[in-house]
Amino acid sequence: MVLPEIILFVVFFALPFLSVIGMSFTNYNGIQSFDFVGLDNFRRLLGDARAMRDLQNTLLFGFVSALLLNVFGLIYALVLEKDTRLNRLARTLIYVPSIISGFISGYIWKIILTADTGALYRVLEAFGLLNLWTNYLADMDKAIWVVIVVNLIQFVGGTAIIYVAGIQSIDPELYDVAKMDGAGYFKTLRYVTMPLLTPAIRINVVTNIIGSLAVFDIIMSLTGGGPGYATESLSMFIYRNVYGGKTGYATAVSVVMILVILIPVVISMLEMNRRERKYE
Amino acid sequence: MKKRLLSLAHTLIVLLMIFIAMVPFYFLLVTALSEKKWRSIFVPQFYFGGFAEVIDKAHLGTAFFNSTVLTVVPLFFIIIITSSAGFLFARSEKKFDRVWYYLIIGSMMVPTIILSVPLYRLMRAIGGINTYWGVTLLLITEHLPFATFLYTNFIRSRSLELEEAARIDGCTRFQAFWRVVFPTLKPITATIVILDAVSLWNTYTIALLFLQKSEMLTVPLAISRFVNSYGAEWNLMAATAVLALLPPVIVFAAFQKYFIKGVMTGAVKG
Repeated sequence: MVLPEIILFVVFFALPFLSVIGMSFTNYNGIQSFDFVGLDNFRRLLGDARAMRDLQNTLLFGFVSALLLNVFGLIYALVLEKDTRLNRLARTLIYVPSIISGFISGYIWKIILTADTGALYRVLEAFGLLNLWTNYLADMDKAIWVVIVVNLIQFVGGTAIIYVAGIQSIDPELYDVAKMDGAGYFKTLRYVTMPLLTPAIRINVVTNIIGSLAVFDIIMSLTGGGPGYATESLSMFIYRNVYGGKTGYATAVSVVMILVILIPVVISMLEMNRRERKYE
Repeated sequence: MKKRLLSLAHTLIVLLMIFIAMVPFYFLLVTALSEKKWRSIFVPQFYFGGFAEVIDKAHLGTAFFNSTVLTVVPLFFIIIITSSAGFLFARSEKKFDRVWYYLIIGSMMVPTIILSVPLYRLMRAIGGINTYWGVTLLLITEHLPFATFLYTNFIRSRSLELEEAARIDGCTRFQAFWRVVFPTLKPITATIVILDAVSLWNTYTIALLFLQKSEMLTVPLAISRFVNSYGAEWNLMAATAVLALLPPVIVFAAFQKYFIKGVMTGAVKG
């Protein structure tokens, strides 16, 4: 009964995964036979300004996004935890952006932020505030922050919903006990809510780290990696080198990306498990 | 007094959250409903010509058909495959099965783009590029871990009584699963169908890598090709974006309770 799943997993995941690792030590160029070249691809990577910039972009985007998504997701959840009508409506509406593909979302924001004709420009114009206008998408330093904010607006709702679920699953008696002990709002948050929220924190931290470090479609449509390579991510670098003559090199970048995702995920899982044991 | 102020502040913050989530869609609609030369950013013009133009120019009809096929077919197989695998993983006590389970769940950490080079070679070798079946196989594989995880956890939390009764009545394990257990999995099946349908509809990476022929393009690909060839005609671009996000939004509006519930149960049980 489990056979179809295992066959698919082996053929379309496990074997390709192993061959990515194998190919990263070769000079495969997509056509001819290839030789083992040891760590050459990785050495080349260190000297490749574009790939290093992409690595830096990926780390910056990944960690800042994962952090902001969790901080704002938690704040949203604390505001929306009670089951009032307004809160329930808000939970539904803030979740809407996460059901739209990152690709479409990127286009929506491109339409809004584009110079001269974009909605933001025209809103500022209408209020006579054009001196506040900057073409953020064309700015080498600011463009990546635009992508971070757009990504935050898109996925904060999904993160918040999971935190709401986590908060609501906490036994209300514990809050009564905390109240009787004279604990205020922030003390209760620190000593009751946060520790018991560990399962929700784990799932949100892990999924946001993976999702943010693998960011692809939202950047493809919003900036295309530009200006220059200012917002290009490792995943885009890999995609853009799948067909050309640099495929062996692209797999080395893939291996780097696997490590970039795996290391923080494993660390945060271990940390969450430690916490869970501590509070049990 | 202090209480009323707090509750007023709360309401304002909630409204701000709603505003932030919704304002991009408002501007998108205004842009989509305006003629090329538009008058106001605040009031829509209600010009629908843009929609007609893009449906024709961007070949959105074909793209909607392709996206529908590549949502429904993989979804069907995902449910069949992962529900039965989840049943086995939940009930088996063999170490071997446990190892497979953790390997499959662990693969969630590896985004498909990382495998693009060997997958491209593989797809070329089996003739799967530009075909429904080739892309379907990859889409099923990509969605295995999450659905397997949800089914396995759900089945684990269920008692063995029903299946044991069925086995005593002479059913094989296979029959016991499909006749007796599967119908009781409705809540989690509904969750997986809804979440995966949206995620399959939004598929971008796999489609981008393996569908290049114009008659095989899915909705996002058709849009990006349209934008590349017609340039920055913002009202038309907005119109395509509105059409593309309509199906997930409609599904969400119809099943919103299940969405929120699904996300919540999936998360807290994990």
